Amino acid sequence: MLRNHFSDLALRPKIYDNVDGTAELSMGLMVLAFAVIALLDPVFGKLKFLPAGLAGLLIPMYGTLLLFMGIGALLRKAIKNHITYPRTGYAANLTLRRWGRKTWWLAVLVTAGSGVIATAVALAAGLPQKHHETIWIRFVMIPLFVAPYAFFTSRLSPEHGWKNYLAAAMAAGLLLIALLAPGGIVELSRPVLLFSAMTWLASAVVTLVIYIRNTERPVPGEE
Amino acid sequence: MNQQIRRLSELDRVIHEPGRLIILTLLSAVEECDFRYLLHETEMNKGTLSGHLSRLEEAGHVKIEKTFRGKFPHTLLRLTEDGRVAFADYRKKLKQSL
Repeated sequence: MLRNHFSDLALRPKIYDNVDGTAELSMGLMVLAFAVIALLDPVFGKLKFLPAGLAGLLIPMYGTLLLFMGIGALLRKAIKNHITYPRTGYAANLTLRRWGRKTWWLAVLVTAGSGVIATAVALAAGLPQKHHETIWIRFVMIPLFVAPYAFFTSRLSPEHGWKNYLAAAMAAGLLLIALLAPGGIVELSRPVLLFSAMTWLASAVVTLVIYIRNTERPVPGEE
Repeated sequence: MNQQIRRLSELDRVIHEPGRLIILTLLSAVEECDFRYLLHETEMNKGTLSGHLSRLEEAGHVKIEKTFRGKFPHTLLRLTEDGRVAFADYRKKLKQSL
């Protein structure tokens, strides 16, 4: 009980980090980057200046990811500096600051490693040629995309109960897509990723609007 | 007096005050923050918060840095190393006593 009380208070800075929805915005933009990669995949294949083979696949993928992550970082900085810090104050999250560089490199390594493994598995199984698919994979996508959102918002946005309904709406939308979308997994991944990204981004925008409505514009010079 | 109860009397009295305990717990989870952040999170008034911070600064638990953001004053706050050790020690003793 005592430990929980301290832990709850110690979690406040992490919750505060997403008080303006910027953490959800970053997540939404990352999922959107994957959606754009999936949507533009046929276009990337036709670009003559890209090298053939795996490099031609990875360069546009990482390029798009970096672009969206850059946009996310800039938007986050702008919101924090111009809206959040003047209204409710500045706090540098200890974990993010202390482990920031290490976490960044770990994320890069995990992304690169999982990409290499997934590519190797796909090539070994001959997936590009076979296009085989089982029906259960369509439905596995629902918890795969809803669970991170539900977990993230329940932990870092506990004051916004409406996000539970949004998670339910996300699950219902993904179920509809799984039932109705034609084609194989590749074709299915496009609407799934786009819909998930839109849910994250909508959640971020509504959180920011609620934050602005519930906080006062700062008086210049007042601490 | 048994050892468990005696530990309660050994608690740091500067920290063992609800307002200051909330401040220290919040500060222990951040690298640094400003006065406005603590006002928002603790919902104390400015006078009460200033009083607690002065007391914590006197005890060497908190470092207060007065800076400027543009033309306006901006107060940055952080836990000192001694403050982190004292807070960890306080938590340990309180846990052992209860």
